[in-house]
Amino acid sequence: MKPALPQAKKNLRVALAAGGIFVSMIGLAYASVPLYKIFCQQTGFGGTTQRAAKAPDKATQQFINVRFDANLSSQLNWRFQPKQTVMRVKIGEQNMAYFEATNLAKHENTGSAVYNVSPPLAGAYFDKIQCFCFTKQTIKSGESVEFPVVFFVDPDILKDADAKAIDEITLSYTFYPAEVALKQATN
Amino acid sequence: MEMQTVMKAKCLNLRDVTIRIPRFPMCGRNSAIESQKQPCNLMKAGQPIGAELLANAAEFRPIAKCLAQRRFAAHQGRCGGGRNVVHHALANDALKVEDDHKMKFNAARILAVVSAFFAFPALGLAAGGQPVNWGVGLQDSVTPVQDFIVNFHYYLVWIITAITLFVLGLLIYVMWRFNAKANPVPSKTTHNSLIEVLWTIVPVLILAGIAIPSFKLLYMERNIPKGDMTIKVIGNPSWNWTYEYPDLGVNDDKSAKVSFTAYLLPEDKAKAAGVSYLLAADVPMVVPVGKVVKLIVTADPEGIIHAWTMPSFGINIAAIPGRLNEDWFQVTREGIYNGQCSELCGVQHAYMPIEVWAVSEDKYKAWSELELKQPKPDELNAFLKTIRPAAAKVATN
Amino acid sequence: MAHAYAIKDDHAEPHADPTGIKRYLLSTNHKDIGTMYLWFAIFAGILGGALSILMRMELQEPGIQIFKGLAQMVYGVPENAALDNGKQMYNAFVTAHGLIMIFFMVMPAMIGGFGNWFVPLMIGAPDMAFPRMNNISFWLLIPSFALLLISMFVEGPPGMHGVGGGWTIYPPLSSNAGQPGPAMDFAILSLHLAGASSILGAINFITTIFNMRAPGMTLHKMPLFVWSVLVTVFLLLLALPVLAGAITMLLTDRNFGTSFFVPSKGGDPLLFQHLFWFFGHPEVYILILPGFGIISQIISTFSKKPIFGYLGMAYAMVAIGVVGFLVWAHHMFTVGLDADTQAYFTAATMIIAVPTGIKIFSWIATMWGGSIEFRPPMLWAIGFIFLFTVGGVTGVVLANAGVDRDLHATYYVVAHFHYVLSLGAVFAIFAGWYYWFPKMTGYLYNEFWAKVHFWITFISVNFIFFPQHFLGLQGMPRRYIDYPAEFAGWNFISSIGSYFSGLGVLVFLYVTISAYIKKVPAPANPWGVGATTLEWTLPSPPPFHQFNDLPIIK
Repeated sequence: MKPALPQAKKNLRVALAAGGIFVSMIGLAYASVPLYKIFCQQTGFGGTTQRAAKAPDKATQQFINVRFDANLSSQLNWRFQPKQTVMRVKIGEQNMAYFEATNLAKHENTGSAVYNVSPPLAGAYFDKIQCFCFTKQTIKSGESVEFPVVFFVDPDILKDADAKAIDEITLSYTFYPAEVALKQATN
Repeated sequence: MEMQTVMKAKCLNLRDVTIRIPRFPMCGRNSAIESQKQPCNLMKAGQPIGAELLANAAEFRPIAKCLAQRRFAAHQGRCGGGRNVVHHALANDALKVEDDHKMKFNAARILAVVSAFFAFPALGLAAGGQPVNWGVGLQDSVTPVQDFIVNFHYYLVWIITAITLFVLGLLIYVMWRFNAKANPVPSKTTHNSLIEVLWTIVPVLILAGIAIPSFKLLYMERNIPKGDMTIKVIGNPSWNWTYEYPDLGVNDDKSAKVSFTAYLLPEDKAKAAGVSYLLAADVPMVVPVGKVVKLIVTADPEGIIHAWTMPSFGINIAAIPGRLNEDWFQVTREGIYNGQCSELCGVQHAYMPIEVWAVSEDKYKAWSELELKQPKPDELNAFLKTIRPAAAKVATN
Repeated sequence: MAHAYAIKDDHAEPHADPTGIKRYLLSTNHKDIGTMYLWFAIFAGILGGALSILMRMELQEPGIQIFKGLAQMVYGVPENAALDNGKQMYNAFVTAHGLIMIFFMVMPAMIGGFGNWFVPLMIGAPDMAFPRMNNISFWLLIPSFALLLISMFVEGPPGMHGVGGGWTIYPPLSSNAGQPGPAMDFAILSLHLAGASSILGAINFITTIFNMRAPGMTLHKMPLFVWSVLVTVFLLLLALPVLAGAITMLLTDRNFGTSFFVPSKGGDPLLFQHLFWFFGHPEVYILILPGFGIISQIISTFSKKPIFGYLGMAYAMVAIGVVGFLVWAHHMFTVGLDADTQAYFTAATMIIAVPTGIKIFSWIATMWGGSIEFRPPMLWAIGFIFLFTVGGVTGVVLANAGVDRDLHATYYVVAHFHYVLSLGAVFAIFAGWYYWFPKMTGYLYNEFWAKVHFWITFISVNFIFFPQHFLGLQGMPRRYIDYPAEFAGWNFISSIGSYFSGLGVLVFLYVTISAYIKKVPAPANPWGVGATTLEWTLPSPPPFHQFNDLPIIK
């Protein structure tokens, strides 16, 4: 016991420390939102793809299937499909695939796409050089737009004990209207 | 239903071997009788994991080897051969086990009878692909994954039953031996280093013995093999499932030609058809038996999370809006298999059944050709009657 | 008013004890607040139990028998809308049963009730460190509970009532896509208040245990119940803010246009699941750890032996608490995690079996060589050990990601967590109730009927929950109002069991009320030489202010 410190002051000290833990855990909960995103981007966790500037100079002779999948929000009167179902590509080789969106509505509207690859393990090895995700895409009524995806499969996948058994990677996009909240508010 | 698959021919010669493998008496349908008809399963019914581990924990290696073989060469004729070797090896070891551990097995049988009251599967109550009233075990397996799960679960049930009975025994003993009448003067012991170390180490060892096969199973499930076909499953906010077969061809607008939605079969119609209400869907997802089917699963982008669950396949995979998941199965027996949504999805959660028909390749081909012509519902229903697999046989043992 | 009997540094001057309604409404006395917590928990428990019995009545046979009529009666919906309203009502019952039992029954009983009563007594403190804050903690629970109950009567999904998202409230089912009505907002605010209550309580307990121990009461001499509360409140302090953050994000997603969990705006519904279970898994240890503490006291008392392996017991709880934060994604094995992640969570989860095993075996070792008296608290404690073992081993099965895909979200899970919580935590609460009832009230109760209560409950809960393992293995999903005829058999048994457990609650009420009526005075220590903790040195009930002269622990 330290008689110099009255009980009330001592108690306040512990309580403040505990309160500090509380506040920092709240902070951590909020920080987890960007941290989770960064973690996924860094590790490919949950099928998050990687970004790259260019494909490796030399492709391998190993092949892998890439399947394309498209989903569309019912809030968006579009048609949205991949132009090819499956591509068989060389690992390490730069490839280009297309998705096509057509605006069936009577007016122009804007969408933006989210995506993931599966299996989730493949995220770390699926590199996109160019894609149309998370950027707003406006299509005029009745028009069609082709969205290219330039990608390669990282040859490091062949060094990963688990991922090298992957036979097919599926790249899935989902288009959502870009301004749902706004539209609902103005309706 | 009798097997019509190509695989049967390749693997049937396993029969003699597997039958002689000692097995626990409680294995129900996933045992002797059934093993004759489940040719190409990885974890053969009748290979009791517990027995293997008694003999040699490393027995899981050949299984993994077989798995690897099947994964990459399943349909190039090497499956049967590779498996055969493995099975002979397993059988020999297992026979040895029977000789060496006869006493142990008798004890094990007694334990099995006791544990039947705890968590063991029914004596032949489980029919393929559906739950059974009063059933107490996992649903009968029709895929390699579920075979592994069923056998691994037996092994786990053994362990947990033994642990529970051990704790119960200790409790009963101390209550009998150390009650106030029997032992009026309590001891003052509060420490015993040896025993404290023991009850830390032994559970760790038991857990390690669980973890090794557990990881094998997990990697078998999650490392998706080369698929023979891909089906896209979409969980809809209106509580039904849409199935798309993109590999069967696409329309001009690139949407899958074969795409349909399966709804709950209403109660009166289910009764009329003699099928189980809440398990039966109005149209089935049709797959060819023996083929590796890859599922890509998502939910309607504006919808909620569902889960596509098929107990007899060993599949439960979440269907999440804006996100694609995948899983796989390979049905080894023709039949009708049912599952239900298993992620709380709102008011009609209990009303979105899943029905899969595994049919012969010919019938599948006929079905897909009809589907490609976009048949009218009546036309489709009439056709479906012709390919409907026989109802699952209820075992009688 | 409150200051009149707040704790002062000079505790020499005498003052009148408060009486009447003010004694409780404005109470800053840890024992009175503890008593109120216990009454509250009994009330909430009866309500939550009634919900569960109604659900079991519905599930007694296939088809919808109860809830269609119930929805018509309660909500006044027309006949043609009654069926769907009934289904939603069932989901709302599932949700409310879970939330009530967790936040308004087990936590208030264990931490608020027994914790408040006995932590200060056991460490030789005159009261809690912050008596007024203690009062706030309790009274926050009342509006919190009210908000939850209100949520059952306001709109959830369009045209229907209540929160049907389960206690896990996963978006998008809990966001505007699934249930746009205000019911979910009420539930979220209810959780906020309950969380604030618990956080204040946690800070109070931490300060009390760290600063207010009597001279000589070192941490390593503290009774295990105090240890268990200490670990629990640390878990609360670390876990609850994460829940608070997650549900606040959900609230702003719903009402203020943020997009934390909205996939259409780049949010991730899976992030909510991660956050929820980062809280949710420690939460289940929050529910059970104080039970471990209670059981340790009782086993030691009635074996007339000190606890075996005291340090191992204390640090096993610490280990469970720490590892409990590293295993959350085992609740998410089916959301599509890759194999390595699942393997990690499988392994980490199974490790928890080791400290848990240490506890089970240490309890048995405490009994070993003892002189065991089978008084009612001991019966409940022994029942606890067995039932918790059953629930524990099925937890090991579920920990295996490879098997979990057959069992995830089935009745096997329901059976598992009811064995560890409904039968584990609740048995510990009843054990504690019968152990400390004479101390708290000053009255003895009828031990015969307390034993009858035990046996009825022990047998009936096994009838309820054991068959649910079979249902789960057979593939019956949980949270289903209706099921195929193939599941009828075991569901019937389970429902019958639940009616008998309801009977058990009536016996419990009889034992309790008759003790208050008969007023048989209890001695300071009704349990004899085995009861060695400080509360038994005080009269029953203890004086309004105890330990005015701090006891010295040798």
